Amino acid sequence: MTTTKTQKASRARRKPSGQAASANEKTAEPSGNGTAPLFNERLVIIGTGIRTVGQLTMETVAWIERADKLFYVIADPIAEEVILRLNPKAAENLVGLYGEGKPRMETYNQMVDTILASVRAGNMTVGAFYGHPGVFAYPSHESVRRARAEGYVARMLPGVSAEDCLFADLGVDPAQNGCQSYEATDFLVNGRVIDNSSQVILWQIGVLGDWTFKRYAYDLSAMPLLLERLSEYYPLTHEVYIYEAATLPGCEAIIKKVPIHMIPYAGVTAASTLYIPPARQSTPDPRFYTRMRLPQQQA
Amino acid sequence: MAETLKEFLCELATDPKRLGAFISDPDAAMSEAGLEDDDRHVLKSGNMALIHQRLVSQEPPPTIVVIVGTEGLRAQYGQAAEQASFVPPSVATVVTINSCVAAPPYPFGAALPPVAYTPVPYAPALWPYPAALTPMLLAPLMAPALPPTIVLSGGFAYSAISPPQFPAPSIQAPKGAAEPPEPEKKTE
Repeated sequence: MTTTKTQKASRARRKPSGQAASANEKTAEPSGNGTAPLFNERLVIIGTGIRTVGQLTMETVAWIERADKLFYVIADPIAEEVILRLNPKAAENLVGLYGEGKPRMETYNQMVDTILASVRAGNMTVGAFYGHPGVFAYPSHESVRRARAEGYVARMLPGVSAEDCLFADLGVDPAQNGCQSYEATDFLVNGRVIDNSSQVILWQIGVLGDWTFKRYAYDLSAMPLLLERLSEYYPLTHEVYIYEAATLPGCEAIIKKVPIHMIPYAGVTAASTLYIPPARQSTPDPRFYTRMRLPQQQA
Repeated sequence: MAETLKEFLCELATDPKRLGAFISDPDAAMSEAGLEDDDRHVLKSGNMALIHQRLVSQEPPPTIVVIVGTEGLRAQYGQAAEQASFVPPSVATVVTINSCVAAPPYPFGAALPPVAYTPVPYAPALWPYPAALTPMLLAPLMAPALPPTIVLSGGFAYSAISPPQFPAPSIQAPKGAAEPPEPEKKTE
């Protein structure tokens, strides 16, 4: 029984171009009842971590080796070398789709189209992205969504994200005081609300307001607007942390502690993340606290 | 056989035993791999830009300065900074990072260009500008707008890199509040 299903899955993987996904492949959602064939994914999205040396998982290595076609978006030369060593015939770099001044959204859609074309052609396709493939990575999620919509079995594997590195390097816990996390431009233009008694993380402050690709420098003319927005919640003297994870072994993360008004001049790069500690203590809500079965502190 | 720096790091990424040996004794692991002295020196420097440059044999990046006009906002922040009793440095200096003019002096409120400069070509962003995804991102707000009531934690000591950890708040039930019911005891 198992053998039959495995054979069916194998045939499905090798199906020629242009054919629709079989009924067997349409079990894209995990059933968990033990009847679905194992490892019949047509698309697997993997992450190589922020620091490839040490953060590349065994599962990731296995899928890199298994791929019929492997597309990667990685600037880390070590991760690229690993991919080219493990599966040189299948590897194809998609970084070339970026263009100086080209809208990033256009590039992302081209990436998705490229990945999906390979899936439709019957290849067991792997997409490799740096960090966690599902964190601040539009083409990875979109590829999985579209593949599943077309009936293919698609899966994303977790990787080590910059946020994971931040919690470890700054020694903070998202559970303590809570943690809000926004993409910096999204925070500005979509009116996101901050609770200044919780921790706040703003991502991609180094590409704030610039939706094109730049190799070395982004125009940060919108940075004063970020300061203006933050001043609604914090005094400009509130100290924040500009963080950049270490990408190579033996290197330390870059952590700069500056008051908010000095952010534009703190050497923000495209890889920088802003961590804002709480500015005040949490305010308990007795309306709900007293209705819970929690021990009351005696006066 | 001697390995290049890239080959060595690639081996560390895929072989836990070799990574373990490197963590235990970096010098011995590098020696065993036959790394050149220059490679060893670069790897032990802990300098990301230097190691990256060695890996890709890249030329130093060009000098880039982005000029931005922010007169209106400067005036606004200049006033705010005065209220915050911030004294800007009076002597103008130029901060140079890796031969690149990264940021001119930063007296607050001066005509300064914010510059995002990366000495090492970074991994390209994978997240689009939200305007392109506005329909998807415009989820309804789940919390009411909070008034900017800011209470500074006076006298709070910030450590070198660790953000402050606030103690759990002391919570008291208001006078007259009903005590929470006791959990029901099981009767045998």
